[in-house]
Amino acid sequence: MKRVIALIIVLFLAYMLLPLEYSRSEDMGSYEHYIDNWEEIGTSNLVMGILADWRLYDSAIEAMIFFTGILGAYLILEEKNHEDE
Amino acid sequence: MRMSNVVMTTTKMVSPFLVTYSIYIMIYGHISPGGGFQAGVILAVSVILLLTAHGYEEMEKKFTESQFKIIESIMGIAILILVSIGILFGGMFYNYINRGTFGLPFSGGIIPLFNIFVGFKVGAGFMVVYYILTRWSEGD
Repeated sequence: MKRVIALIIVLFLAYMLLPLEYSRSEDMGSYEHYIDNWEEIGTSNLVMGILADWRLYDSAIEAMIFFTGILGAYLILEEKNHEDE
Repeated sequence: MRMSNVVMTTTKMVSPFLVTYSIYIMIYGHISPGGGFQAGVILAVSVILLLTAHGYEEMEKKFTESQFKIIESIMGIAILILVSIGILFGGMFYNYINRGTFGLPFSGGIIPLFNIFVGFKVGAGFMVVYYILTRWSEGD
């Protein structure tokens, strides 16, 4: 039963994800948007403009994910350090 | 455990330049290639060089683990506050500082501030991980 469900999920995801088109589109793509509205950001490094302005929510939460990773490493490894004593 | 005299002298000479380079990448991250994360990694490497060359026991007194933890936590809170202030100006994650002239260091609104905060946060975070792993592998 589990395998049937897994197969259905995989087929559904394949049906959803395979037709997606990642080529550069002529009118509506994000590539064109970034290039056209470069002056709106005001930084000469376009990568930083995308990362820290249009995608600031991603970058800021990514920093928090790094914090959570350090917290996890601290919890797991410090526990072992104290067990040795 | 300490390394030889040559390694200790060389790391003492190299690490100030690494710190300077890291600060440069932080401040100019929105103009030239670079950014906060890369600057933080270089900042952490400059301290890790000293730590591996001079030995963990001796350097632990100068660069204590708690000060890295404090820097990382303060910078994490600062990033959240910096990002949340945009609510007052139109929306979360909104770039509310006036964007200056294209291509100057003071341009891009909150992007340079964000780079600096992320740089210090990532550098301090890597140092905390390095301390944890060192203590775990040496078992003291």
